Amino acid sequence: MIELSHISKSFNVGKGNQFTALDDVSLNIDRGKVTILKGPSGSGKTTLMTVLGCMSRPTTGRIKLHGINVSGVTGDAGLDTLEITSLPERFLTEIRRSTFGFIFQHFNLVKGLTVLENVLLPAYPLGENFTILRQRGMDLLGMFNITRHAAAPVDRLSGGEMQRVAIARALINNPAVIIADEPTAHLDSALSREFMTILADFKKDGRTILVASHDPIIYDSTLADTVIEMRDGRVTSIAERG
Amino acid sequence: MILHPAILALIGASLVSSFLILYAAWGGWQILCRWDISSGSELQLNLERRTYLTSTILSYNFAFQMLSLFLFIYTADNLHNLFIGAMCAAGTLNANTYGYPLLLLKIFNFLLAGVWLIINHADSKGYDYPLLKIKYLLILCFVPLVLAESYLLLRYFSGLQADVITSCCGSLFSSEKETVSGGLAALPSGPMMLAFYVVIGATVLFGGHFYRKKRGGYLFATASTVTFVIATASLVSFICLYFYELPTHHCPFCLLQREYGHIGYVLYATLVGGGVAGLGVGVLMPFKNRKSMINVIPPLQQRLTAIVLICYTLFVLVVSYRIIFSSFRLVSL
Amino acid sequence: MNRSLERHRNILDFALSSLLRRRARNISLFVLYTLIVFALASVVFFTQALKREAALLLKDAPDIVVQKMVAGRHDLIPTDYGLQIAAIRGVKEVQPRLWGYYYDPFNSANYTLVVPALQPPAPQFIHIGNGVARVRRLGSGDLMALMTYKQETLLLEVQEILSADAELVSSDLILIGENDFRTLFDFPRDVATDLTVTVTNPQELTTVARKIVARFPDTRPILKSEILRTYDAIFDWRGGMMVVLLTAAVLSFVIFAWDKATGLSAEERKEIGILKSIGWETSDVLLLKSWEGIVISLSAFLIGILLAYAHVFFFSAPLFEHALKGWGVLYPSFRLVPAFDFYQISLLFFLTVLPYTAATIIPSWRAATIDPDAAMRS
Repeated sequence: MIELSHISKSFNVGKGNQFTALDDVSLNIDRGKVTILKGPSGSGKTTLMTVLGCMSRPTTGRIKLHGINVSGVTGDAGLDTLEITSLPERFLTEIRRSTFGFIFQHFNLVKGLTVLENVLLPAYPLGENFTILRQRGMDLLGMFNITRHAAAPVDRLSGGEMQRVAIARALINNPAVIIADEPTAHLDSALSREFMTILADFKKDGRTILVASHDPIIYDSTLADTVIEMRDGRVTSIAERG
Repeated sequence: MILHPAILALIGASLVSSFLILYAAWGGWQILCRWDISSGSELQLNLERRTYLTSTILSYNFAFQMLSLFLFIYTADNLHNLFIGAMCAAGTLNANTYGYPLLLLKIFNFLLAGVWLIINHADSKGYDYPLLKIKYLLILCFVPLVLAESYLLLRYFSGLQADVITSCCGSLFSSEKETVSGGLAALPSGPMMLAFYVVIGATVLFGGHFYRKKRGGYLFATASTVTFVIATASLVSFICLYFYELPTHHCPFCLLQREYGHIGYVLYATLVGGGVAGLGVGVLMPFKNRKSMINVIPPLQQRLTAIVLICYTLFVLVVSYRIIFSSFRLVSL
Repeated sequence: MNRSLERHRNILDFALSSLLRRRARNISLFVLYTLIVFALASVVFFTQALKREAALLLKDAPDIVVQKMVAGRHDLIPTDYGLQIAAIRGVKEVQPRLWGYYYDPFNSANYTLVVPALQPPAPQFIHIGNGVARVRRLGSGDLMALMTYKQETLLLEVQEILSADAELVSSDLILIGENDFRTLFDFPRDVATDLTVTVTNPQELTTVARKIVARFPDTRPILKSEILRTYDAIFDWRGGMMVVLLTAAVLSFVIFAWDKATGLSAEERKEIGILKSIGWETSDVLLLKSWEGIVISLSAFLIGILLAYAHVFFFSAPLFEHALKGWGVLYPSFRLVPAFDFYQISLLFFLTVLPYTAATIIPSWRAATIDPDAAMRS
């Protein structure tokens, strides 16, 4: 579904503090599978996630998407292959918000807004009818059992509840791919396991899942189809399971 | 120099505009020189971010220019008391040699800014920045024009002295004078009227054809632009006579006044709207077969064509209604 | 179409809520903005109102006023000049005028005394303006004492108090009969203050004026349009001066706004980073920023203008009165007739909203181009 070939990403090129976060990474993410990125912090997991999720562009290398359609863009190589390496930001964003849902390590909820508003936030620029949008948001809150908090500011929630709000937000645009960056870093074991059951549901729904983590609850989980190990910006091993 | 608040506002605004355009052009220059879409380098990413700034600046600039055109004409009208013999904006503009060139340049820059926004709109829908070059070349062309506008504005206002004897609009647009506007007024109204209806008819015809068949775009764009010029000339030559119901009053500004029901706004808005949209159709023609534009430009051109047709039709309807139902009759007809 | 409208609605909604969330941060900007609009709008409204008053005053003024000059100074004009001017072709009518000023030492006030050409008050009677009535605490039927140049007291009965319309003009006015006027100032019989000339064809005004100067080189004809022009020029100039002075305030406001827009708080940066990471695009954030700007600008603009309107037309502009009006001490409570139009609104828009908007373009863009992956790296 997502194909990376020879991706490198460097920061502060030509300056004293230049560093290479990704170094010649090539890999394939398969549709409907759970892929785990494993490695110590600073190994380039997060940067790889941002590149995979069309959030940032690689310095060199190419990214191709298969089976994803974006209005206004016609691919070169066949009908369902799309080279996105040098697309303008507005097209990348278009792809990102229709295809990817993000769950962040620090939840990244907007303080001061209510739970419902936070969940709806990614859909605002899409210009959907607000009544329909709101209904979808409430359905999601119901799914994660937090409907009673809908009108409460997110700052008042517990860690587990915040996590569920962040997951609900990732689902608001019904993405085909879920990307989670260290999702369990701030959760205790019970909540981490709860997260894994939610991931299992996603997988059942046919979503593609990408998780970066160094938490054994995640990378040792039976859910994982592929575990990619990283170190110093390079892929050191790719283990297929199941 | 007359120390009027509006003059200060206009000068301030033109300085701000010049600065913003210079800033945009500087960025544009870097983009033209160092653009490499296939690269993912930080430089390229920065340049791509920069394109947003340019679009924003130019959009605001367009709005500023529209307002400033309005304020300029109204200020000229407001100041006419200060000049012996000036009865309205026409007289104030004639107070020194910079007035009319400034007005024409302002209108031209405004049209150009409108066309730029159309190109920018098309470009933002393309996935490979298809119109990048022409967009930024155009901005570079803006620089001397906007600077010239500021220069003329400063010269015009600093040269204004109350009490300078100027011709009033009655004599400025009277047929004897050998000025551009006098020349327009001197155009025989009969043939002018014929020309007006012929070009507008042709534009509507070509427009309808282009709208349905998507062919003959250049023809339509040319016709639309010619219509813009002819209609502007007609406005001075005979249309305003019907509104004023005076055989010698050729002033194009008094139409904006309350006495004439602010009808000038409708006339100028439709005229400028049609002119810009028509030019836009033409400017987009060479790019419509680019791969990234093939699904963008044709529908956009179709929408622009619809705008041209609606604007011009409205213009003709308002004018014809007045010609038919006004008690005023031109002798030459 | 509908979608882009909904997009605007959603983002506007978010802009409002984010402005409210940062109330404390935005309030200083808003207050300053309102103040700037208020000050400039007061100047513009007041100038415009004064111009209107002047025009109102001159509406019924004669086409030409002829003054006699002696050594470059205004002097009394012999009435027989009038007879000769009346004989010039194109002149419809010539009227000698009697008017002057009377200084009232008890109230330190100057009154304008005028002998009206039409229906002058009967001998021993006067009509007085509002200001005079107020200062001297007079009602109709009361007696007013004036001191003649021969140090005699002249007692005059107030017959009528002039209406308050365009009070700026009539406030200090005393209408008086010709004989009382001449007694009061010990005015010779065969002269007048000046002459008014009406012309049959207004197009010939300049020609007639030229003929008068040719016939009487010691006179100065003043055209109505000249007076109007002078008033306009003076008021415009005063207004312009005030605007120049206020430019410093506008500039510092613009710098303040620029500073506010540039110095985003860490939290605000983080928020924009989050928005971008969850799928907002640069132009969405730019739209958000411009909606924020529009909301702030429009509300400050509206409130500033309303305050200025009240300040000028309900409270007679106490803050600017002396700088702009510049004449007379006799008008403590005169009220201007409300007059404002779209032209002034767009002028004010140009003086305030435009610089603010221009100052925030580049900072908004800086904020909007925060990298979406910034939220993941924090």
